[in-house]
Amino acid sequence: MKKPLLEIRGAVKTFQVGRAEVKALKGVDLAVYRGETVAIVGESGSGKTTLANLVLGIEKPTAGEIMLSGRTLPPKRTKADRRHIGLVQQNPYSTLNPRKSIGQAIGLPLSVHRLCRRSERRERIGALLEKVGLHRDLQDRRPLALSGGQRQRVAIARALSTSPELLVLDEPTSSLDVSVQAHTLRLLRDLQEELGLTYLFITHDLSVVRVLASRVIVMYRGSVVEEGTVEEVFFRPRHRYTQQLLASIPTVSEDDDHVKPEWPWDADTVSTEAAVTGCSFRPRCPFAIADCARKAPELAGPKEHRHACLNPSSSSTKERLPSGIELVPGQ
Amino acid sequence: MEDLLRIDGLKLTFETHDGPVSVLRGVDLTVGTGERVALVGESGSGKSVTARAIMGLLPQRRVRIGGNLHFDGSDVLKESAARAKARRGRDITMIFQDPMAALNPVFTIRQQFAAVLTRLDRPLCAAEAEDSMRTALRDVSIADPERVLDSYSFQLSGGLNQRVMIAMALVSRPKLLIADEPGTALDVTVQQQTLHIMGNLSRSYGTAILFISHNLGVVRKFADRVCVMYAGRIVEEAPTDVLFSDPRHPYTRALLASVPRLSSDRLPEPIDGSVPDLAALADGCPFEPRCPSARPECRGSVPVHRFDGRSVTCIQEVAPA
Repeated sequence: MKKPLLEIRGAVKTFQVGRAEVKALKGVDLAVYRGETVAIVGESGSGKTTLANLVLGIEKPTAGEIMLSGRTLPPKRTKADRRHIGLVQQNPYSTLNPRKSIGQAIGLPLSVHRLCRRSERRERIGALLEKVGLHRDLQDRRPLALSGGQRQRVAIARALSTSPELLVLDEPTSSLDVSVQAHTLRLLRDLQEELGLTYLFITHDLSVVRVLASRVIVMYRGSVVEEGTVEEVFFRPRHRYTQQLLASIPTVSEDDDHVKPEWPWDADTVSTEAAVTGCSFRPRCPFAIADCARKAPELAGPKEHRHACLNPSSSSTKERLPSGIELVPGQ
Repeated sequence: MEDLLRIDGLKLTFETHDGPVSVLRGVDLTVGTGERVALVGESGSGKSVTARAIMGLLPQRRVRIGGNLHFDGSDVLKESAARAKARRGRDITMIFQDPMAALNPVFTIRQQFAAVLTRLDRPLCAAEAEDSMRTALRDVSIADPERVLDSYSFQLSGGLNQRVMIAMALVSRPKLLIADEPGTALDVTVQQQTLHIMGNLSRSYGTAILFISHNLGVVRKFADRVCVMYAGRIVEEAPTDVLFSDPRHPYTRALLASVPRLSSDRLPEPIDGSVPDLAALADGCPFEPRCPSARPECRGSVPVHRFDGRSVTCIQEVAPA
């Protein structure tokens, strides 16, 4: 049995907001193996970024542990701990300091971790830039002179500068134009093959998950509601939230439409009320049954595909619709 | 179909410190009564500035405008600011990307909605106004309108705020609704849900929609006709099904190929090069430097081919793929 590179056990995170407690993570288990890409998908408030922050050591877990290569990482990370995990963030316009040159941005981790001599520095930065498909002379320029796609490449080069084993990619392509996004996706895949990198890929955009990830974890309100291989989750989604997420993907061809599950978009009213008991997706779920209000479902099923839904979709999504609701093809 | 909006050869140049920048370079666009037209393009293609021109929201100074823009029989570019203002919020309304940013956090939804109602043709008394707000919110599938009206925008979810925006934008039964990247700031499920509501309501009210988006997949579901913009020009226009099943312009084809597909785990094809600098654009086809089938003649003037209810701005007789 292979040992995971990253393992999260029972991660709980509560934030104190005024007098109220907000449970951002309600006990999450996760294992990421060397060389694979695990995608964490979910909407804002699902806890996916909090989970990434725990992995990076930006936040301390309220309970649970985070292990890298079998070793439990301390809540207060040492410099040596930080070296092994890299981060690429969403917005390349705000993650690079406009007053520092590209070389300074990439070089900072090199000097913090004392990874090269001063005389080798330019050479190292140049090599990193070339690795992400940029010209090495770009290191003397400021971020303002670069396009969004180029800046994202710089951010990737900076994340790679400490030769980490694990890269946390937090929505790395969502602020880019589609034509640029395709470039970045290619680069990430090529780098993974070349360097044997492991990716924890956080996104709300399921269409990029299919091309980049091998396993996917769907989160909703701080819990994992479904997890499994990309093939399983995309083509046989069980949890109703996963189904809605997939049905929301904007598609550009009829082939893609066939892959999308159907969703009853007409069967929806929202209110200001939130769910207190039972399944947290219940207020939005057109498939909720009486049991859903009583107990919170637990993740169950075989290892390659588990879900937490009391009235899951069967392999055909057309069944089990409450009467009176007409299905419209996925939007 | 009667043309509600008719734009002919719209040109727009901003005077900047570094010289003139042509952001629109001859845009032709029509929207029929009740029709849904999408304007699709990457950032900097000129789609939002086209929307601003229609709304009469262009700056008065440091901008040169050419061409014609008629809305519902009147000449928008020549009329007074007062006329344009009278039309906004009544005959033409707009929905923006981020509902949180569009609503004012220091007023309740009721106060803001009441302000929208003062723009109607006929003044409403307080009871009528309250009634019409509640009905409008129920129409966008909000279960408890009273509570929403009493709330501030920051107390509501993004989806609820977006529904409020849609209700406000449609309460005057406008002739045209401009939706500029509607709900892009929201979660995908919420975006789809609110777009669904917007589409249904506008259809039942007979409101035409000009849908502005960078996302081809989003417009595919909601538009009757799609115009693809590139560097200040519409390079291809076609009925929605036709454009997606049989794209003819090399840019449209490249753009479609760059979208990840659900039905395939192959990586999407990027477009080489980058969007041109509008300040340094020559006369020829702006896509020429990035075009896989470019020829020397592409640097000259580019003809518009019109056939079967569609148009393609390309030097070549573009055959089906």
